[in-house]
Amino acid sequence: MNKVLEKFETEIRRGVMQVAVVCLLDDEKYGYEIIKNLNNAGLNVEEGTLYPLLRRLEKDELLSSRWETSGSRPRKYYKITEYGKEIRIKWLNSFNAISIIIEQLKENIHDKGKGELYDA
Amino acid sequence: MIKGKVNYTMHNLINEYISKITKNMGSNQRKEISKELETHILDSAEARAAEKNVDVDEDIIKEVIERMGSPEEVAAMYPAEKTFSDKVVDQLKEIGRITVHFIIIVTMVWIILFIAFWIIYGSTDQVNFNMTALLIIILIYIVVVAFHLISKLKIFSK
Repeated sequence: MNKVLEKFETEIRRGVMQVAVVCLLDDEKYGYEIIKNLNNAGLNVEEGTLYPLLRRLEKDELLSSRWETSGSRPRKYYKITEYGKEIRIKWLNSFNAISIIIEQLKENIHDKGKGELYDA
Repeated sequence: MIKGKVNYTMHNLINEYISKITKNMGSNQRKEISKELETHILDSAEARAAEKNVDVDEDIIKEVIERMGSPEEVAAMYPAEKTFSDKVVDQLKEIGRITVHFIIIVTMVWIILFIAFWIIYGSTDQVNFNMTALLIIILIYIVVVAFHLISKLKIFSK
């Protein structure tokens, strides 16, 4: 049962991570900072997967980046672009739409009073 | 700053991990991503060491790398962004590899045939096996190229 849960969470996290990341980057942050922020918010990140995601978002022009080399080690800072902000609204809306659909579908569950169904 | 020194072994662990991730990348992408990942590993190791109230050591580096996920998985998640010159370099490497294989095989076949003729006839002076040798070499060459193509196809279908 744990394995099934884990697999589901890995799958769903891929999508959620993108939305979570674009929500964090109105102020510029570097990779490790983003991971800390996500962890603090309760989203567990497999750390290696964040960097490819940032790269992909940057390639799609949702994020812009710059290198800061004056600190103790070189850091790449990411920030959301204007285009990224447009896409973010669309993502958040589609995210909400999905939650609403799931909420409605939950009505079909017979024994929802018995279990520990999480009620948002 | 990092507490304790980042020694040779730690650097090796980090470099080994990063080069596994970046091995199929173009040169510009490789440089940038290596720098970013190295900073991450050192930042993360430092924080982990501070939590445990110890200096950064090999075990902590290993722990951080473990937590990042397998290099193959991470590599697979990066978008493909090879430039034209990267692709040209890849092609040249491929041609180089096939040429080296070809030369090695031709040499081996030549030696084997030479020895075989020598054993059978006791001498190679009057034996003219150019045509046979050529035919065998071409056949083997085709087999080698076919193997190359098959392994290429495997990569594509992944």
